[in-house]
Amino acid sequence: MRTASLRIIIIFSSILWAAALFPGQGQTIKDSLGRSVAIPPQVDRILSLQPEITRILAALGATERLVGLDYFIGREDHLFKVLFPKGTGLPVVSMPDESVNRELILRLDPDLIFASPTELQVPDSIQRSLGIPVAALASLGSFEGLLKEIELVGALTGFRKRADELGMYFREKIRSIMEPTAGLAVEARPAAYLAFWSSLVRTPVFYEPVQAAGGRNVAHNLLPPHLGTIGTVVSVEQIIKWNPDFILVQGSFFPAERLVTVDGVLEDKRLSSVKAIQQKRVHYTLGFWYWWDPAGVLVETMYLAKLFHPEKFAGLDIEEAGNEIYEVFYGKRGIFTDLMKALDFREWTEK
Amino acid sequence: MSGLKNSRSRGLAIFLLVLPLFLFLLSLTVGAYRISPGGLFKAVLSAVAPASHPDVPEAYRDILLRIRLPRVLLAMAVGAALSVSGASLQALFKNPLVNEYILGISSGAAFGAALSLVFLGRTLPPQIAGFVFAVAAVGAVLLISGKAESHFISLLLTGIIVTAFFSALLSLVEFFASPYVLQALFFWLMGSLSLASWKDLYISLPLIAVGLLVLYLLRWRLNVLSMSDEEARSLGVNVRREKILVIGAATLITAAATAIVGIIGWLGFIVPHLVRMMFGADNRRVVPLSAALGASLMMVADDIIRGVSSFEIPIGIFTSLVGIPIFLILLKKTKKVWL
Repeated sequence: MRTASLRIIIIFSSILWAAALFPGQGQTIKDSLGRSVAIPPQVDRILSLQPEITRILAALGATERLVGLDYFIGREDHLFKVLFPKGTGLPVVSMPDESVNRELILRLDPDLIFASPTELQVPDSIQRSLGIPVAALASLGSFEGLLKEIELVGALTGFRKRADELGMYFREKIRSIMEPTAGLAVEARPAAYLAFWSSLVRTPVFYEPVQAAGGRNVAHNLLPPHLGTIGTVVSVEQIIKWNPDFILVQGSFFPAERLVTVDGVLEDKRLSSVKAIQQKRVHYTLGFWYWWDPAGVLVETMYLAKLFHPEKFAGLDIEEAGNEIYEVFYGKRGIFTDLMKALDFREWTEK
Repeated sequence: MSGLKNSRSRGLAIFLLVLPLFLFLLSLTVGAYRISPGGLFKAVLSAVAPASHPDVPEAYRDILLRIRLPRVLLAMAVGAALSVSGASLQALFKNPLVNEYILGISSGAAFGAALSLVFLGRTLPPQIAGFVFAVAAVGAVLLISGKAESHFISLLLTGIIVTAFFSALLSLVEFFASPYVLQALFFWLMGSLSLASWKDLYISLPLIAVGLLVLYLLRWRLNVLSMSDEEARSLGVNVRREKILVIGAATLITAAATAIVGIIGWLGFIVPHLVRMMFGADNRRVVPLSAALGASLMMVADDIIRGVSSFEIPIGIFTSLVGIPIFLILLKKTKKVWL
């Protein structure tokens, strides 16, 4: 189902993609904040302050061009250390309090900086003060947004062919997941509530993996899409009113860091009348992981499809599929299994 | 309300005092889940005697007894606590610009919550850590100001310094925090009742009740303390002891409220002013009426948040957005703030 928000993202992403001209020439793109950013003809030194872009660069095989990282991917992301061990030696330029070390940026001398669009003032401020182009990019929870992002980063870094391969693979996988449930009416789709961002009552108003997996996000479009936000706060009472079939807890943290847990939600007496609690259908899902991991979101969609429609996806082995997807994206076998162990996602790998 | 000059003021005061009770009942009917008053009544009966109304949905009982009741009670308690704290400190400091957070309570509580979320995990809940450090911040103010504690300027300056110190500590914790924990911390700092539970009430209500009782009993002495120290002493008041008692009680209730719901802006500043505009500056009236009006405004604000849309604006943001324009309108109308 194409929603207004999805249409806006697709149109916007198309502008973004179309604006990436020919490789080898200076080009101007429109970023996710609608800013025009002039990209130099040759992008050899990249500073990425946006974990999603950093992962895309890893998938494209362009990690050697990274000269610096943000705090999250540099120190917190358990997978990136495995994908690109050399990354642990790269300078960390931005910190959790959103401060950026500009002197260090100058020393690193990047040709292009990728930043997150959530920190509105940062891209303009860095670009103005340092004279280095800063592109603020994010998929904003949309598959099309992610695919256009892969294409754009591929075009900007000269890895267009690899970007096309990944894009085609991603589209094919998503198509195969969506096909069995594509004709389902809204009422036949299980209702899912997503507890994200370390709180039971914070939830995304747009999360495409749920829809693609044949489910229905109960908070879908709770806020008008033109606001540009992907999350909001709801009341516990509202969750009871929605009476979801599933509650999905963001689980991309290490177990010790989780402030909201599956057990905690199951034991919450306020929710005892909710179907998901009564039927013990509370599960961890990956969720945003400081934006997305393109491989992770693909496996997540498969896992949700199997969770929502076990009869239609009975033969799907999530661990096997996950390892294959991660190998296609990052070229390493078995890292999905390692990731599941690190996150203690036993359900995901149960046969 | 003895001492009020005319029957209109007296009537208004009585109305304000019974308003929380009316709003309490009304608030129980407001929420995302539509339940008729009859349904709520049956839910109460079925909770008392389950066999009497076996047809009442389980969700009704959960919503009424586990969600709305603790939330409305918490809104009442927090509204009353912050307003009485603000009124008492404004009277004590003889300064209309004082608010309930002036002695570093908010920055101490925020640092405590951050410390708990970032470093202490589940061993010390943020509510308790917030309370401990809020009290510690005020304790530090009193300790640093020492014998100068009877001089308001010294106390205020020390309060500003301690606030700045704890704010710096908070920034330091944020600097080292995991991004996931930061998300939870920012949410806490916005101030919200959305996760209110009986556990929160068990922690905060006894402390708030004790603090409110102390300030209520001291309300007439606040009038004396509003005079100069010499005048107060000549009337037989132990100025130092009384001030510490007022500051201690105000700290207790503000810290207990802030630790549970986060920082609720402007309520403790605006409510006492509104009461003084309507009834004058006699603290014998200002204290109880501030409690009633603060509790009422907090319930109304939370009712709007819960009733208007399916999503929730954190109440700390809402009280600031709505409270300030109302205050400005009243200020323009009455042209006086402090009597």
